[in-house]
Amino acid sequence: MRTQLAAAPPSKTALLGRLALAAVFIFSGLHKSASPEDFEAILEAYYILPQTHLSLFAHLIPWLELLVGLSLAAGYEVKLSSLASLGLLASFITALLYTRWRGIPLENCGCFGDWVHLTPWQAVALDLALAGAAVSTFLYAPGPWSLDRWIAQAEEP
Amino acid sequence: MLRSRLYRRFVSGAVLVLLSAAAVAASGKLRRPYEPDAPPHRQRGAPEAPIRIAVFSDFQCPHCASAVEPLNQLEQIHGGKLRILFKYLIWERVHPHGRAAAAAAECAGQQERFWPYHDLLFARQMEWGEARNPERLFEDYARRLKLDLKRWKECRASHSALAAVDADIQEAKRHWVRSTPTFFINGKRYSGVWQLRNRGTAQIERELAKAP
Repeated sequence: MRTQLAAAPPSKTALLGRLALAAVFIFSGLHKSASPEDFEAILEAYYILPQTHLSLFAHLIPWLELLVGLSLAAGYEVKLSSLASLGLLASFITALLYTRWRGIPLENCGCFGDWVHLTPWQAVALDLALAGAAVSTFLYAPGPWSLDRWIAQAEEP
Repeated sequence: MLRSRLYRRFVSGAVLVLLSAAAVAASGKLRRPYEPDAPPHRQRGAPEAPIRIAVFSDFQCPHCASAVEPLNQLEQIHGGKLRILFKYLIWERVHPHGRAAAAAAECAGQQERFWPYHDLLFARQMEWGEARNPERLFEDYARRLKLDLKRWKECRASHSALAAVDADIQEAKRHWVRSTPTFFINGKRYSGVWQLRNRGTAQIERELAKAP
């Protein structure tokens, strides 16, 4: 295992991509979880989730974003974390495109709570760029500076 | 123990789960609360009250009419510790007279009679809401409240009242206020009367218990 890891091409670009992805997820998760009531109102505006589940998702999504972001930052289960981030990004892109298709007017995406205002198209562009970073993170996993390497260096039972 | 791969994986995962939970718990401090403001004629209660309730409302919305009573009850219970602010948010597609009603109330507010006009509009919501042209009724209400009709009509004609209404609507959009009534109690959002009664009143009691 150690030999395999050593042979993996050390990619500074992939590491930067992983850290950028982590930073965006942590930033986004923190600002959404700062006010779940406000995020619930944002989710409501998308008309995708049933009213009865809005509160649950308003609490769950920010926590998931934080967990994925921290895992990526620490390099923990990098393949799984990058796949989870891809899943989240795909659901965000789908939600944004769905509102465009249904003609629901959104002045901003609400992706970062009330802090950063991006138009839906800017948000789709950002999400696509982040999806690229997630793919490169997956391909170069675990990459340098990761808990996965530290775990892999442990003795087999 | 940390020499085992499984143990390292478990400890790392547990630390990250705990860290993310702690970040969620601490994130409240990052919050930049949105505390809507309104001109003085659309505020009532003690100026220095520890509890400020801003309500985004539409005079033609039946749910907003049903919010009048719980707000009055809160005022009766908490007396001078409450300040209520009124913000306009109109859904013209469903409430075609809402914007004109808001402008009529805003013009009553120019004569310090916003709240009586507000009460009358909600009390008579069915009457003017279903009228083809409610303007005559709005004028009738102004007359009943002994407003200076000339001034009130000048205000209606000037469009300054409509500009104030539209400014509130834009502000609501910027802050994702998309349903009426929506309440902000010291910056914390509650959508609808159910949330106000069941969660908002609990917040008020908590904050008043903490207040000196």
